[in-house]
Amino acid sequence: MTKTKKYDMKRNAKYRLFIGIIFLITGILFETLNLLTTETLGTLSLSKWLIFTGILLVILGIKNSIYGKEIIYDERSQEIINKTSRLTLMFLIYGLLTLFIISMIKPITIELSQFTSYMIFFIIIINLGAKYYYNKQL
Amino acid sequence: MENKIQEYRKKLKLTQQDLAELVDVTRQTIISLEQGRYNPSLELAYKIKTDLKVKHIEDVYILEE
Repeated sequence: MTKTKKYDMKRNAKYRLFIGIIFLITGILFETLNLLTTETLGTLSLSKWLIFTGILLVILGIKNSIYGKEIIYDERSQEIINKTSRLTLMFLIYGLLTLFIISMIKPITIELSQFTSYMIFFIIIINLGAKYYYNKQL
Repeated sequence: MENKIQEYRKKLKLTQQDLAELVDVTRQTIISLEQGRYNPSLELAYKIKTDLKVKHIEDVYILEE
């Protein structure tokens, strides 16, 4: 039996909030001092990324510190996570292989940032779908 | 694998939440176990049998042929 783990969202929200504030301050500092503002990977500069991630972390931190609950990861939950991760990775590998084969036949011209956002979106969708499926199965 | 967890739990007048807290799992796991969707690990099976005050493990779990 895998040991039951407990995750307190409210306690961890403080760390998230702290990191978010640091990101936000660093981002704003970089932006005002005009440091590292050159655009990387097409659209986003490091300072803007820090501000964006900082805002997200602060919002999540505030949300979790108010509505956060204790999550219990017992052996069943851990099995669901394992199976979900395996399925997501499998989809990712086969999906990328399919894209690789298609690109050999006809080159795919798409911006890297756009491709990354599509990929993250589909990974999240597959992960949530698989989690729902295995939750019903087990 | 079939089991008689629900039967023994009701005999002791325990709720699913009570049993879940006793064996340190979620209520969802107890629901899955009672519905026969999930097979517990040997350790969890033993813990449940002990907390349900059953003498032999084979009284709770019935292995299908």
